[in-house]
Amino acid sequence: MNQERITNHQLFSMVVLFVIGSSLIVGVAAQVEIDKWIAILIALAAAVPTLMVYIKLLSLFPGKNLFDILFLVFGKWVGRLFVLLYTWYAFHLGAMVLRNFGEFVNMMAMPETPMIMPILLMGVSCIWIVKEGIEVLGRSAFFLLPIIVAIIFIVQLLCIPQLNLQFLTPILADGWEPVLEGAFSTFSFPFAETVLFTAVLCCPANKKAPYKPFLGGLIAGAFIILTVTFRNLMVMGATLKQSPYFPSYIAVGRIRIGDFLQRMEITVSIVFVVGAFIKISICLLAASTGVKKLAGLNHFRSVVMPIGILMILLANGIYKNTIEMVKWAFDIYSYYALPFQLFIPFVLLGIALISKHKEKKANEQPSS
Amino acid sequence: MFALVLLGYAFIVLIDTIPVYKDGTRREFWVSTSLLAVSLIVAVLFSLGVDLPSPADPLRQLITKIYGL
Repeated sequence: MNQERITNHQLFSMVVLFVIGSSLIVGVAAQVEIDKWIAILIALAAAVPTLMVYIKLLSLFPGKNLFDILFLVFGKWVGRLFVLLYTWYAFHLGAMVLRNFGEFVNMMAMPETPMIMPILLMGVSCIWIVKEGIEVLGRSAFFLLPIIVAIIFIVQLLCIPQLNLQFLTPILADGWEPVLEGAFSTFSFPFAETVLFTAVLCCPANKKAPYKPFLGGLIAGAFIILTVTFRNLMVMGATLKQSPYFPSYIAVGRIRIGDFLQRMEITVSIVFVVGAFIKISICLLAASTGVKKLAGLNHFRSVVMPIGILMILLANGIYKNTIEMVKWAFDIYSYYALPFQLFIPFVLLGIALISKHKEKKANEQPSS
Repeated sequence: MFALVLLGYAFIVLIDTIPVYKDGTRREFWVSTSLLAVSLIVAVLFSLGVDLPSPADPLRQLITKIYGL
């Protein structure tokens, strides 16, 4: 089977866009009022070792992705169960991001348009790019990342007149408990969601493991989230809590420079469209790869279209309203994602290391 | 709405299912067609205004039970 290849730069761009994808808009760590930045830093400190576990796992089995590794380590039947779980997770996550996008457009930009329309258009674009393969996805991420960074940077500069440094104090007024809760929620959404990259990538044999682009992408994405969160905080202060849906949109909406630079919200929409596009595509790619592995197909391309349409339909019907969506994203989702992001990869790495060790010993004995 | 859904699916069959039938293996064809059939049923029910149960609620109950939240 011909393997598709992406360069390190493309992987880096994909990880950055994946991490900032929906979290820039929905906001992170809604549990915390003004110490969000501490929560983000703690979550980043926890996410870096977790990502190293993912990459170590990939580098132990060159040329295999997460689904192959699950089959190899757990055997056929248990492995199949785990592959099914991960496929569901990727599918569900894609539908959730798609729904976030739909809610955003419906609430902020086009309230009269039925929500299925933005979801459908975004979904069809994602189906298209996934059918073209991961190479095209990597190239488009590489092309789009500089534009997004430039937009974020310019908007950041334009926000300077609105910033109020005293909105950042008092630090830790509510104690550590909400901060840790926020850190936990930030860890699972968006940092550790990058576990889905292990499902679509594999380490090429006789090459170095992609620690640098993967971790670099995570840290760059976290840095962007951090600066945007600082900006939102310093623009809106504690009133951020009163408008919990899509804080960036409201913060940027306050930019007024002279009479002509107003209504900059559209820039936030552009960033969100691009981020959500990459994120949904990765989720769809992972889900299709999982179905391919489960059904024993030759290529995932034949199932992209049906899975994408199912994803669109699930996104259309998954929540009744925005309140339910935000409640899910911040209260339930962290616990829901924990097994996929933490427990299964750690157990998998443990078993894989032990079995590799045994294999090595068994290989050494006959020669001695 | 109903007619639009059927029209959309006819288009999908034209651009996706027929190439899979021609180029892919039998297995690929059957897997993709059965997934597409499931999605067609869901889409038709949506277009007829049937209130389908969402997986978010049972999942939430399951998670709160497991972790004892």
